[in-house]
Amino acid sequence: MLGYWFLSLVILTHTSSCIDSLDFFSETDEGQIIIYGLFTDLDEVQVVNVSKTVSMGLIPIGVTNAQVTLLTEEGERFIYLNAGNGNYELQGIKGMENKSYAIEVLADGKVYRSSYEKIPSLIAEDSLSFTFTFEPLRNEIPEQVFTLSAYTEIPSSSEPIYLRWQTEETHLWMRTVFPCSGLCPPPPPNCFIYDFLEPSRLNLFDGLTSNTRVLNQVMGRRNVDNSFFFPFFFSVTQLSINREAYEYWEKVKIMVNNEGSLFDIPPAPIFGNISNVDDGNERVFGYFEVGRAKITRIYTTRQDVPFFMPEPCKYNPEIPRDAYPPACLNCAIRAGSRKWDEGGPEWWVFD
Amino acid sequence: MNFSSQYTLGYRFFFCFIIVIFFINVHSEVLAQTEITTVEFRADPDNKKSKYILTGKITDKQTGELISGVGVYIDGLFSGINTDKNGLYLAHLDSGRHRIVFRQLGKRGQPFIVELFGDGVLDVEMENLSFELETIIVRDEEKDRNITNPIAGVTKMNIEEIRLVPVLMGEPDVFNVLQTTPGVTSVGEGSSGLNIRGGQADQNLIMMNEAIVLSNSHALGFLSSFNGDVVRNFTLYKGTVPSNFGGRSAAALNIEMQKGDFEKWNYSATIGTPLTKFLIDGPVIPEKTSMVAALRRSNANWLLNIVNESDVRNSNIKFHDIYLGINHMFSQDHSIDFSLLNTGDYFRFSNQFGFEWNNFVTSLTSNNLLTENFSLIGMAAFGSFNNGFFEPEGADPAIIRNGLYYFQGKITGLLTFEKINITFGGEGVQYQMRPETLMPYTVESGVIEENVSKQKGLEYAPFVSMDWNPTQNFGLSGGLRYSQYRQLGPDSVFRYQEGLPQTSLTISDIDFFETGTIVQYGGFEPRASFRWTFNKVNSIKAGYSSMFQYLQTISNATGPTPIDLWQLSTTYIQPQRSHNFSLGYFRNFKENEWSTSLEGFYRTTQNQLEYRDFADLFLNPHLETELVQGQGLAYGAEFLIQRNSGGITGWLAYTYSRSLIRTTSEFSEIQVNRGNWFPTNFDRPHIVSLVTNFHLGNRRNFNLNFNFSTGRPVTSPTTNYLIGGILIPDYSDRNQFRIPNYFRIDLSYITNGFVRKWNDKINISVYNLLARRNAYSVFFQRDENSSRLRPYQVSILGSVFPSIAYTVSFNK
Repeated sequence: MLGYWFLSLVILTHTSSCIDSLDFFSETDEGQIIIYGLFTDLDEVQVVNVSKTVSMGLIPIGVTNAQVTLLTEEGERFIYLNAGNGNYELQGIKGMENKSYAIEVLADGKVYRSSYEKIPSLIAEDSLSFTFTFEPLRNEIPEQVFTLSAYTEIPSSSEPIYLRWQTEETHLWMRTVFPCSGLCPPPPPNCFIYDFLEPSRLNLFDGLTSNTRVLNQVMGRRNVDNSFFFPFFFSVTQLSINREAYEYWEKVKIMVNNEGSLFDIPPAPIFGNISNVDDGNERVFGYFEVGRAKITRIYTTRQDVPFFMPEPCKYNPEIPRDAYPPACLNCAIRAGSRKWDEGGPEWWVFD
Repeated sequence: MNFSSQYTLGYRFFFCFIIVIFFINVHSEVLAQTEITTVEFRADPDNKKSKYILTGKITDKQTGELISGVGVYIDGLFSGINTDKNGLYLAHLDSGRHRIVFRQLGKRGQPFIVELFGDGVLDVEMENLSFELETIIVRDEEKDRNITNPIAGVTKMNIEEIRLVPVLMGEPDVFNVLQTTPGVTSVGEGSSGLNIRGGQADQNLIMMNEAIVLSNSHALGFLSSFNGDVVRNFTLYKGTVPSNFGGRSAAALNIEMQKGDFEKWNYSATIGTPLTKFLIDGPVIPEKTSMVAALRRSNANWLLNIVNESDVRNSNIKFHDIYLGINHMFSQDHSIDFSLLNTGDYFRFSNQFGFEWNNFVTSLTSNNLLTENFSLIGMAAFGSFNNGFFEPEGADPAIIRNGLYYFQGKITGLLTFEKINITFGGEGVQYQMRPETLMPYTVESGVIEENVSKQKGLEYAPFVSMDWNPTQNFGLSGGLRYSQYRQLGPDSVFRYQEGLPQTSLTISDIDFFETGTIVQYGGFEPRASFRWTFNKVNSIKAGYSSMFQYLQTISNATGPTPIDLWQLSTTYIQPQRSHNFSLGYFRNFKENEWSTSLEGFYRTTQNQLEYRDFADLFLNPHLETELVQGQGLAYGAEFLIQRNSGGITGWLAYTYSRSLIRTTSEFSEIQVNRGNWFPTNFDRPHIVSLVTNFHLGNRRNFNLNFNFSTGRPVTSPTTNYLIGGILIPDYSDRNQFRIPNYFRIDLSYITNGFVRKWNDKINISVYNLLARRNAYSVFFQRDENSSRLRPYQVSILGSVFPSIAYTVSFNK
C-alpha cells in the first residue's frame, strides 16, 4: 500500500498550472477605425483619439489626418485641434450637466458620427489611500505590492447614478547627473512618466441595483519597483456616466476579464455609439463618452515605502559613463511605450 | 506542441504499452461453465399435437422480483422472444427436444434441455453474475445483444460493465462511461450533461426508474448524481425513443436502480481519496419487503489544498447524495417500489463566486400483473431542484436563487401476445418554476432584493406502441404519442411593437393572466423502427422518431452548468420539435466473440434556442428579449467494434458527428452569424474511444482507456483596439475556430483487498495518465511584453488525477 501512496505522490508532483499560451489562430484584421472620446465637465483639455487596427494583433496606430468636431444639441460645432499621434484636443470648452453632446469625425473621406449623449448631474465623492504589502501578485511568489484603494460616498437620490473610475499613475524619474568641471551643461531635467494603473481592472457601479451608498474598492495594484524611489502620483478619475455608457463598459469588462472558465459569458463583438453616416454596416470601434468627472490624487514618496530600495541611477565615480543602464541616461528608454515629458503636469505639487 | 513534449508523450505512451504487454503475457483466463438441466413435459396420450406451448416466469433469485427483457434462445438461435414487463414469456414450439437458454445482461445464463411433448410451464430463477469472478461471462452471455436488440441506437449496460471503465476519481459512473460509447460526448471536462448524437444536454430525457431527474451531476459535472453502487443498469435510447418516453427532443436515458436483497443483509463501505460511501441493503420483512440505502460524500477538499495556487486553495467543493429504495411484494403478481434520491452540491471559488444546488426526486411505482398477459404499472413522482449563484465578497455580496418542482404521473399497460406486444398508457407532468430571487449574501450587503415570478406548465401525453415479431428474423415497432402542453397562469406576457425585434426597448404593453391557459402547444409524435436479422450474425435496423420538447435550459455560459435555469415554453419561447432518423448495420464474428456495428443518424430540430450577444438572463422577466430561436441540424455515423469474451475485452468506437445551428429570426439585427449555419459549442466531428479490460483472474482487472476528439468550436478575436489603456478584443462570427484536439489516457486496476477472509477490494485509477493539458477553452489577454493580444488555453484537468478506494462488503 505504501507503494501506491508513493506512486500517487510522485504523480501529483507533476501537476502544474492549467493555463498555457497558444499560437494565434489566424492573422488579425487591419484598417478598421477606432474612435474614442471623453468629454467631461472638467476645465481641462478634451481629447478624442482616432486610430486604426493593425495586423498581428498589435496595438493600433493613430490617424493623423482626421477632422474632429464637437456637436452640441443647440447646433454649435467646435473643431478639435490635431495634437499628433491620432490625438485631437479641444481647449476652453467643457460639458454642462444635463446637456447632450456628440462628435463628428471626418477620416479617409468618410463621416463618422456618434449619438448625442447627455451628461448626468450626480457625482460621488472619493478619498484615496494606499498600502504596501508583501504578497503574491503576478504569480504565487510573494513580492512587494502597492495597492491603491478608494472610499466613495455616493449621494442619496432617486435619480439613477452610474459610475466608472479610471486610474492613472505619474512618476518622476531622475536621470544620472554626472559632475563636471568648467563650463558644464545644465543637469538634465526630470522625466515625468505617465501610465494607466492596472487598466483591465474596470471599476463600475450601478446605483439602480444597489442601496449601497458607501463603497470601498481597490482601484489598482502593481509591483513596487524603483519608480517608487521618487515621488509617485496616482490620479483617480471618477466619471458619472449615463446608462448606455455603463452598459458599454460592462461589456468591455466581460470581454477583458474573460478567462475561459466554465462560466464565462461567450465572447461577442461590442458595438459603441459611433457609426459611419453613409454605411451603417461598417464596424466602428470605440465610444464617445460624456460625463461629470472628479479627479482625486494621492502620492507616495520614498519615506512611505517600507522596503529597502537603493537609489537608481546614482552617480558612482567608479562606474564609467557607458556602463550605466540606458534608462538612467534617456527618458524615452525609461518610459518605453508609456507617455512621458520633461515639464510635468501642472498639478504636480507635493509637500 | 513542441518536440520535447512530443518526445515526453511518446515516452509515456511507450511506458504504458510495456505495462499492458506485461499484464497480457502473465495471465491467462479460464471461462466458467454452467450446468444444463433437463426438463420434460408430456401431454395426455390422447391429446398429442405437433406444436406445444412453453411458458413461464423468470424471477431474480436474489430479490424474487420478476425480470423483464430476458431473451429466450431456442436451439442456439435467439427466438425474438423476450420476457415482458411481468417477466413472462410464451413460445410455440414444435414437439420434440429443444435446447433453451434464458439470457440477460448481468445474469447467469440458464440453459435447459426441454423434452416438449406437451404444454409446459417452466419458471426460472436467474442469479446475478458476481462481478469480481465472472466479468468475462457477462459479455459472453450477452454478446449477440447488438444483433437481437429490437431497435437501433440503444446502449445498455449494467453496473458490472460500468465498473470496468476507468474514470475520474475511480468512481463507477454512468455519464463518464457513456462518454466512451459511440455518439456520446460533452462540451468538456467539468461541464454537466451529455451531448448525444449532436444534441444539446437538455435535449436528453434523464430518468431514474422512469422518474424525471432534472439535475443529474455533481462537482460541476465531473460525476453524475447516480451512485454507481445502487445503479443496476441503464438504457440509452439515442436512435428511436419508444413512445412511452417523451418531453425531450434528442434521446432518453433510463437508469434503473438496485433493489434490496429479500433474503440477507449486505453491507458495504468505501473509503477513498475522493469519496466515502456506505451501502446497506436487505430484507425488512424476509421475502416480502426489502430496502437499499446508500450514502456518498465527497472528500475532495484536501486535493484543493495541495494545489499551488492560492485561489484554488481557498476554494471549497463538497457534495453528497443519498438513495433509498424500498420494495414490497404483496404477492408474486403485485408489488410496489419506492425510491428517493437526494443530492446536494456546494462549490466556492476562492472569495470570488460560488454555486450551490440540490435535487430531490422520489417515486412510487406499483407493478400489477392482472392476467397472464396483461399488466399495469402506475408511477407517481415528485421532483424538486434548487440552485444558487453567489458572490461572497465585493461591494454587495449577493445570491441569486432559482428552482422548480414538478409532479409526474404515468400509467403503462402491457398486453402480451405470442408475437405482438402492445404498450399503452398516459403520462402527465406539471412543472412549477420557483420565483427567481436576488438576496443579500451578507448582512452588510446593500443589494436590493428582487423577485421575478416564473411560469407554470402542464404537459400530458397518451401513448401507444406495438412490437410485432412475426418471425425470428423480422421485427417491427410502431408507436404514437400525442403530447399537449399548456402554460398556466399566473404570468405576465409582454407585448412588443410590431415590425421590430423583441427587446426591452420595444415592449409596448403587458398582459397579466391570473389563471387559466395562457398558451398551448401540442402534436403527434410518431415513432417507428424495424429490425431484419437475415442470419444469426447480421442485422439491419432503422428507425424514426419525432419529439416535442417543452422544457429547456437557459444558460449563457460556454457549456451546460449544474445551475442552468430550466425554462418552460411560453408565448414567445416555442417548444422544440425534432425529427430523428437512424439506420444501422450490425455484424458479429467468431460466434459472437466480436461484434461490430455501423450506424448513421440525422436529426433536424425546430425552435432550438440560441443566445443573443451578452444575453442578460438573470432576473429578467422577459427572457425572450435575450434569445433567438433557430433550426438545429445533427448528423453523423458511428462505428463500433467490440470484443465480448476472452482475456481482453472492450471496444473501439469512432463517431463522426456534426451539430449545427442557424438562427431564423426575421430581424437581421438579432441574427447570429447573419443567419448562416454555424457549429454548436459541442460540435466535435471526430471522436475515438478505446476501452480495454484485461481480466487477470483471481478478481483482478486492469483497464485502459484512450479518448480522442476534435477540439470544440470557440469564438476568436479578429482584431483588438485600445481605449483608455484597455486592450479590447473584437470578436466576429460565433464558433468559427476550434480549440486543440482532446486526447486522454486513463487506467484502473481493481484487485483484492488486504484480508483474504473479507470480501474487500481496492480500486486504483489514474485519470489523464499523460497529464495532458487538454484545452477546455481559450481566452485572450494582453501580452505584457509585446502589447498585443495573445490566446491562452484553459485546461480544467491539466494534470494527472490518481485516486484510490478501498471497499469492504459483508453480509449476514
